[in-house]
Parts: sequence; structure tokens; C-alpha cells
Amino acid sequence: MTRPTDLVQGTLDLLILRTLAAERMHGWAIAQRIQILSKDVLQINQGSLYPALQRLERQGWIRAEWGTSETNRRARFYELTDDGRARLAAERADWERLSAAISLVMRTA
Amino acid sequence: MRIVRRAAALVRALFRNDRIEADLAEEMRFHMERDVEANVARGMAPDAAWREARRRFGSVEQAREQARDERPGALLREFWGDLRFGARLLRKAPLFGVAGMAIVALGVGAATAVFGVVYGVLLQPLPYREPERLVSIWLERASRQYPSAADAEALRRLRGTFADVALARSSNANLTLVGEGAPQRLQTARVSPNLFAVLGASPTLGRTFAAGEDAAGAAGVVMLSEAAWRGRFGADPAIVGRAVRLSGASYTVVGVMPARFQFPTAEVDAWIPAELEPGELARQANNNYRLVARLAPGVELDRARREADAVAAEIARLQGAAERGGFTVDSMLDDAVREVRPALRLLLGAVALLLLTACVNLAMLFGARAASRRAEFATRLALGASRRRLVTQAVAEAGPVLAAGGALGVLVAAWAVHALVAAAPAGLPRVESVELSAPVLLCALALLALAGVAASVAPAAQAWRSDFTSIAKDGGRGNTRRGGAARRVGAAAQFALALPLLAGAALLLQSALAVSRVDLGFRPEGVATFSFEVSRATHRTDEDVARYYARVVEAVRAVPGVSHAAIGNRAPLVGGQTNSVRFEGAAIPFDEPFDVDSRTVTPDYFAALGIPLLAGRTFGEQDDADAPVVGVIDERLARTMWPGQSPIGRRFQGPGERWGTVVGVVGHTRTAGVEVDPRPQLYWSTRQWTQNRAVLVVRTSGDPRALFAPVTAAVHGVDPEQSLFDVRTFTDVVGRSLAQRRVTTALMVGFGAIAMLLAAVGIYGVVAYGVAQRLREFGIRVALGATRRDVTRLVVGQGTRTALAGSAVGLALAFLTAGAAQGLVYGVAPRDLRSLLGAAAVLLLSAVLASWGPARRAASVDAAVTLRAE
Repeated sequence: MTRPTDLVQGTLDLLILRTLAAERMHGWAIAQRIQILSKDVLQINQGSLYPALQRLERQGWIRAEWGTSETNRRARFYELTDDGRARLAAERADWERLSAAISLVMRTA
Repeated sequence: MRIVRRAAALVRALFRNDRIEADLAEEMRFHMERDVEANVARGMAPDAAWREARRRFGSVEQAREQARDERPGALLREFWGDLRFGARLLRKAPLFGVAGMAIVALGVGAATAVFGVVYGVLLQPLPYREPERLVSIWLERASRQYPSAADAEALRRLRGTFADVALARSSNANLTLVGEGAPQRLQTARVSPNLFAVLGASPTLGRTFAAGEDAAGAAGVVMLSEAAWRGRFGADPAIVGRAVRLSGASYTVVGVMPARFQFPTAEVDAWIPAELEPGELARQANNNYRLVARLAPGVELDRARREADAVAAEIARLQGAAERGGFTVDSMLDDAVREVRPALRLLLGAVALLLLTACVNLAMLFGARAASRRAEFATRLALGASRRRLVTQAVAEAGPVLAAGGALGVLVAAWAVHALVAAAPAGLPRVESVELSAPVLLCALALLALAGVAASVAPAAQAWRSDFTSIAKDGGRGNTRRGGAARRVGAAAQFALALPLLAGAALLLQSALAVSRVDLGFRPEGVATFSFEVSRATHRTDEDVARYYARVVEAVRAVPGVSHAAIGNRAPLVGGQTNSVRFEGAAIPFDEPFDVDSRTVTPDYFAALGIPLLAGRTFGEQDDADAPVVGVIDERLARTMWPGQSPIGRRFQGPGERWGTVVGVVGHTRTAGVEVDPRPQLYWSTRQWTQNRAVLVVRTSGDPRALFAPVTAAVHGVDPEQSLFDVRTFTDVVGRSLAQRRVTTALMVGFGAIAMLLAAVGIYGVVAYGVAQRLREFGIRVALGATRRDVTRLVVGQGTRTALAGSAVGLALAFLTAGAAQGLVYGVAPRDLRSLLGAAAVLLLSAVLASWGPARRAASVDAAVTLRAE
């Protein structure tokens, strides 16, 4: 995590994993959920949401299947795999360590 | 687990790409529609809701592309794109593509075909159990000979060295199958019952021989080959236990051997236990068995050789012989391919050189194309493409040419292997196992990879070195000094590689010429030969056989068109029988037995074959079993034994204590092949030494082919059950003796010609490129007063100098590798200077001719036009 882009990219992956930890949902719902939970601070650009989903799927952390949406339409639902769950735990620990360190520096320096 | 899943995802991404794209499109559409719905629910007007959703989504295309890059196999897809781009480039430059494919196909195809033959014949293990522990054993005296049954017995006693020793009498046991329609020849081998156990081969049906079935008076048993079982007995599943009549005697079929079991030769139809003559085990007689043994566990070949030598020394001591030679113990595979190995090795080396020449040529071809695209690559680099990307693309673009050339090469190889097997000389061992097997195809793939490296190295290097500023300076047409030098080195290398090939071809051509001038010692034209085997069940005594021979000869002589007919135990060129004979009052003392080639013949044999009588007389009707034994010797034996004296009336002692007197001297003939001449000859009268194996030689003034049918009919008139085999004209026999040389020579000449063509094309490319680069310079030279001849000489000289440098290296290479031709050349030294220099001269001539075209173009430069073009 040396470059800011990595941080951003890694963060999006983490947010998606975290969102999916609660329940399986489709892409739109993931974006919606992140936006609502972050009180509209984080607006996920769909142009990066779908590549991120493909990336996570390739890593084997999430899996996708077609299902029926709340509006009774065909939608692609994502859910965490066991690997994904382990990954989430690891990334979350990392994140907490990092953000705690950053806050510490910000407060004391 | 994870790897499996990843692989599955990769396969899905590569092969179901359309499906994935469609899924993604649908997913994004859903996303946007869901956004619109949410916006409407929040109270937006429908078209405003759409606009807002679109704005928020951003570029659909970009999202798609980024998603694509995140999917597995992105690099592979990129590579695939480059491959397709390469294919499109080919369509624009078809000549380049065809040339590249032809070079790849020729190089890979030829090398694969030759490797296929080499693998099938030399490398593939024999189809027996633990074949690497099997050895063949020969008797080594003045030359390699078949050992005797007593030798086998002596070696068998070396329990700790050989687990067991088996013997087989290969060639002179042809029986006649009767009672199953017309008499058919069934080629049999007489073998010791333990043969199958020694080789570790089991039957497909029934059993193999049991110990004791070779004892005198044991019931006749026979084992059939799969081919005989299918061909002659309709693959009868109940064949085991069936009685068959072979040459008048009854045999019980006990088993059928699988098709891959081909011992001692592939032609054997049936095996019969070898019944030894009384006392044969006790004395060193009947040197006519092939011995095969299995090494005892843990015994190395060297130790077996030492122990066998000790046995040989012991036998010699017991016999009191001055010199009896030793045993040759060789691995069975090495022994089986002994005669063809030098030729196959030479061809393998030759085809490797050819392949290297082709690779250099390919590298130059692709290098030249890359050079013409220097500007394009530099521009792309300047526009932001990564060097890695340029290199991958350069490599990938060679893909279509390699793929098509490789596929074509495998077709070429398949065809060539087929043609080689069809043209293979009779008796090429293991030719039936030559095919494009998995290891051979793997080799083709490896060769293709080599070609791929050759094709991509120059473009890749060029892509890596791309540099916009230098291109911008010289307008993209400049020749870097390094590129020009590399091209000249490549062209020279092709000459260096082609020269040993051409020199080899020249050596073999000279050898072929020398062989065609060999004096065979007889006149093969107008002679037909028919082999047969007498049945001792119908002709019991030697007198019966001799009388039968006389009746056959008489009947055949009565056939219209026949001028001479005779019977011998063997014809010239096909090998014979070697006996130790002692000569009285000769240059070689009586107590030193001398190996001669023995032939038993009827009186007309010499006239039928056109062997000249030099002194004394040949055999007559009076030389029968009751008369004193007489012999006719050839001039070589006469010169060896009684130099400067008349051999007529001299006495000799042959095998079985036969004493005889020399009555005549005839010309020497080649006994074992056109190119070999192992030993002098001694002829015996058939009536005084009668053998079962016979060859009928018939001379006519017309076409000997026309005699095949009437002579066969005449023989059947004497004995309707007599089968005849190897019915041939003698010119055909001579041709067979030379078949291996002919095939090897033709291949070497072909390889040499292709290599020369490639080298010429290479030099043409270099010179033509150089001329194109220097047109302006030539224009200036002409403007300053240079004549056309000056310019021509300049250009041709440059091409020739490159070729000369390459040829000099090639000469050294040819000189160093000349040892490979040892044993294949005839009548010419492997380092024959004339062949080497002749090959170099031909190559240089090709270089001059190849430079001539570009030189004329340079010479026809119009100074005004060229200079104005700047």
C-alpha cells in the first residue's frame, strides 16, 4: 500500500466485501447500500463497481449467480465465499490498524 | 482446489467470452433501470430520471473495458488479438507468409520425418520384457559369424552371467504348408524351447514350447505368428490343438504369438523347436544359430563380455586351435540396428543442419520485415505503448506463420515417413514401428518452438530497441550498422551450415558412382532366381535330394527361352555359408583353418550366372556321391593359397572331414552384397554335398520376368507340392543390395539442395537489401564515372565475400564432421578434398548467381533520377 490509487482500489474491494458479508445482493444494491451507510459520502462510480466485482470474482472471494430482484426482474446476485470471508477478516484487521495509525498521527503530530 | 477453480474460470473466460459479455451488458442495463426506478420513486420526471442515471453511471464502454481487463486471461486475449493482427498482416503480404510457412514446413517436416524413422528404428525399446537386459551373441573370427549350438551350451553354463541363452536358426528353414489349398511357403524359425521365456514374450493363444520338445523323436509342435494365423487359418479361435501338415510331416499347433513378436525376423510365420543333430552339442559345427541371452540380475554388459571371452578362450584351448576369435556380446537393440545406425545418424545430423539453416533463414526473413516496420514501432512507443507490449506483439505476429507452417510440417512429415517406409530397403530392421508416435510429435512441437524463437528474436530485439529519435532523424529508412552486420552474419552462417550437407551429398554421390562400377564377377542381366526348400519328409536321403534337383534342372531347361538352368544353395550377393577349410601345401599352413565362402552348386551354375572359368574344369555329371570329392575355387583363393602356382590337383579338408581336390578356378564374385567382399570362395558339387536350401538360377536371352510363370509351372510339374519364394530377376537382387545406399544418397542430395537454395535466398535478401539502401551511393558513383561493370562487380563481390566467409567456416565444419560418413562412403575417403572443394564451388556459384539480380539493378541506376529523388 504505497500508492494512493492502491489504497482507493483496495478500499472499494473492502467495502464490497463488507457489504456482502451481511447478505447476498446485486450490484445496484451494493452501490446503494454503501451510499446509504456512508450517508452519501461514498458514491460508488459504477464504472469501477463492475470491474471490481469481476476482480473479486476472479480472486474467488465472491461468487455470482442469476436470481430475481426485489422488483421481480432478472439480476445478478453476489455472495461471499469462504475465502472471501477470510479475506474480509484480514483486510478489515489491516484497515483498522492503518486507520488507527493514521488517526493517531493526525491527532498527535 | 483453488487452482482447479482458477483454471475453470480461465477456460470459461476464454471460451465463453460472448456469454460473459452479454451477462455483463444485462447486469449494467439492470443497474441503470433500477437507478431510473429509484429516481422516479423519488419524484423525478421519467426523462430526467434517465439523464440522472446515465450521468451517474458514467461511460458504459469504459466500464466494460475495465471489467474485461479484470477478468481472467486478459493477457491471453491480448495475445490472441496480436495473433489475429499477424494473420491480417499476412493477408497484406502473402508472399512473405508463403515463404515463411514453406521454410517452417520444410525444416520441421524433414526433421520430424527423419527423427520419426530414427526413433522408430534406433530408440524405441524392443517389445520384450526388460529389453535392455537382452543381448545378442555372435562369434567373431575374421568376420562376424553365427555361433554354434555348442557355443550356446558353453555360454549357458555361465549361470551367474546369463540367466539363460536361447538359439534360433533364422533363414534356412522354410517349410511348405500343404493340404490348405495350393502349397504355400511358410517361413519358419527353428528355436530352442526357452526362446520365449528368455525374451519374456507370451502367446495370445495357447502356450509356448515346453522343455524337451526339441528332443529327437518328440511329437511335432508348431507356434504360429499372428499374421500366419489370420492369413492362413482365418484367425480360427480353435487353432490350438489343431494338426497341420508341414512338408509332409504332421505338427500340432500349440500357440499363436502376437504380431509385435518378430524374432528372429519380421517375416517369420511359424516357430518349430530346433532339433539338434546327434552330437551337435559336443562339437563346434553348424555355425548357423542366432544366440540371444538375458543377463542375470545385476550383471553389466562389460562383465558379460569378459566372461564370454573367457569361455571362447577355453573352447579354443580345448580345440587346440591357434585362433578361434571371441564372442561379441551386444545389447539386442544395438545389434538389431547395427547396419543402419551409421546411415540414420548421418541423416539425423544432416537434417539437424538443414533445420538450423532453415531457422537462420527464418530469422533473417522476419528480421527484414521487422526492419521495414521500424518507424511504426517507434511511433507507437512514442505514443505510449509499453516496450513489453511491443515485444509481445512482435512475437505474436509470428504465430500464424508458425502455426500454419507447423501444421503443414506435420503433414509433410506424415507424407515423408510414409514415403520413407515405402522406399525403405528390404531388411531395414523395425521399419514397421516407424510412425508419427507421441514422442515424434512432441519432437515436432519442440522443433516448432525452436523455429518460433528464430522467427521472433529479431523482431523482439528490434521492438525492444525502438527509439523514436533515431527514426525521426533518418526518416525510417536508414539501416543501422548493427542490423546490416547481423544480416550478413546470418547469410554467412547459412553457407557454413549448408556446406557440410553438400559435401556429404558429394561424397555419397561419388560413392554411388564407385559402387555402380563394382565388378560383381558375374552377369546379373537376363537371370531370374527362384528360392525353395526341399522337404526331407519326401526326399529322405542326400541321393534323393540330388536326384530331385537334377529333375528340376532338367524340367526347367526344357522351358522355351531358357539357355541355362542350375541350382545352388545360395545365389551371389545374398550371403552364404562360411566354413573353415584346411589346404595342403598352401601359403597358409594346413593346421591353420581358413574361412571360405562355401557354395554347393550343380554343373551349369557358372554358365548360368556368367562366372568365367579361368583354369581346369567346372563340375560335371560324373562328380557324384561315389566319385572322389572335387572343388572349384575362385581366383582370389587360388592367389591366396598358391600364389604363382597352379592350384589344380591340390587337396583340401572341409567340414565333416571331407577331403577334396581342386579341379578348376573361376572368377571371384561378390558373395554377401555389392559393397562388401568378405572372403574367397570354394564351390562343391551338389551331388557330393547336398543341402536342403536351394536357389534355382535361370538364364535367358530375353526378359527374365517372362520366365517366372513357365519356370514355376515346370517345377510344379516335377513336384506339385514344391513352393517357390523370392522369385526375382537378378537385377532386382542387385538393386535390393543397394537400396539403403540409394535412399541415403537421395536424401542427402535433397537436403543439400534445399540448404543451398535457402543459403542462396539468404544471400539474395542481404544483397538486395544492401542495394536498396545504397541506391543513392551507386547513383553518385555512376555520376562520378563508375561503369556498369564496376557497380556489378562491387555488388556481386560483396555477396560473394559473405558467402566465402561462410563457406570457409563450413569447410572447417565439414572437415570436422566428416567422420559421420565413415562406413557409408565407398571408394572415396570421408575427407575427400575433391568433394569438399566441389561442394564449396557449387555453393559459391549459387551465391554469385543470387547476387547477380540485385547487382544488375544497382548497375542500371540512373544517377539523375536517383539523386533528384532526394
